Amino acid sequence: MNKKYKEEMNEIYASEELIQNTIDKINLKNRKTSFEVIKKVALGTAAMLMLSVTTYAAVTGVFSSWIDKKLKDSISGGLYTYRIPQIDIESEDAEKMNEEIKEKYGEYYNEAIKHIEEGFSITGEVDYKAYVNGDILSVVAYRTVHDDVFYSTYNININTGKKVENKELLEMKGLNEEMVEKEIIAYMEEIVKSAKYEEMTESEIKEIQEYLLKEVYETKIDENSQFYLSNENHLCVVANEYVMAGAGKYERLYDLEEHKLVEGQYNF
Amino acid sequence: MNKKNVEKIVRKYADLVYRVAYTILKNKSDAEDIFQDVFMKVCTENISFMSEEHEKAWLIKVTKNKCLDFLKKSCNKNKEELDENLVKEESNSNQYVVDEVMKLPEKYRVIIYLFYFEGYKISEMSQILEINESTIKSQLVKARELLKESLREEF
Repeated sequence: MNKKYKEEMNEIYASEELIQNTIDKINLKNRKTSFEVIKKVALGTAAMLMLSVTTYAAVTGVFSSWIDKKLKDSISGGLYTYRIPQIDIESEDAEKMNEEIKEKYGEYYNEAIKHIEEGFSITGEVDYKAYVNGDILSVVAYRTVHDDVFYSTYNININTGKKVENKELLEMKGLNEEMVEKEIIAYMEEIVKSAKYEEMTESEIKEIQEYLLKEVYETKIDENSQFYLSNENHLCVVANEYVMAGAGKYERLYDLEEHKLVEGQYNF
Repeated sequence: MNKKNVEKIVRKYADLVYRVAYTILKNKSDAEDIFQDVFMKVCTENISFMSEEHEKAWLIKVTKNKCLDFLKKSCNKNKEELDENLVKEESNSNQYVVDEVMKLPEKYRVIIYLFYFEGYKISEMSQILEINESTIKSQLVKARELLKESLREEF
């Protein structure tokens, strides 16, 4: 029976037509995704402004981890970090920030637990970085999904317990929203124009660039933009949120002064 | 994933994924849909694997899960009847062993396929299917008995 079963099963196979159709579909999807990535990078590009350097002072006791776990993927056996911050300052603003963090990132944690229970792969991690510069605590929480990273920033005065608004951060550096906006747009233009557009004709590239630049010029820096002070007290703009069909948002940290990514690299 | 890698992975595992899907669904058209879903997932989500064995086991598991999801969504009496008819229509008259295996309940079909065709050990099947080893052993024994009865031969 064993031999016969093997012989017969060998007669059941994927047809060349099915294989080729599948390869074509995947390549088409990847090409679309590649287009979206170019678009997302250009649109979601955040600017990092290095404006002054002061000594980084690590202060403990103003933040901690609400959740700090390593989750084991049920398929690969790999370990995934789930570290969610909390601000340990007694104030109304801190409480609101903690509620937001727990609601948003707690959901991702619960989702990962569910995936493990149901035997699916964990698709990402949650982690954070926290920096104290003078009186200001900046918390940068982030979630990775495959190769994408999505950030949320929180800035709070550790002495007054008050949220530090974007306007205050900008004023500290002698900037305003318009100035930052110009910086970001200039940088995005450079990214869009210097990107490698693989397997596209000149007219396709031109069309994509025009399309991307049109949206680049609509970039707005406002109270919803996500700023934070890095460990070197650099003012950073983390991301703008863009919602595109099936694409969501895509975020990177940039150093505008040095014209390079803070971490990672483009995948044009 | 670049074009070269897409082609490489699809061609390498095409028959495996198709056979697992067909074994569970007993229907070529549905197996083809699942086939495309599985490869779309692995080639567009940039999933990284620790080894070739891990990659193969992952594909089997995802194919099985996708097939079961598909059956959950579409399974009803009429569908079952339709599937039975399709199997009869599609069957090659020479494939009597496969035909008999296909008549077994789904849980036995996959185990038979992985054990006899892919050559997996019980412990390996236990990991891939997330079923404990003793259950797999007993299902294998039961499947053999059912097949012995239907094929009327020793194996």
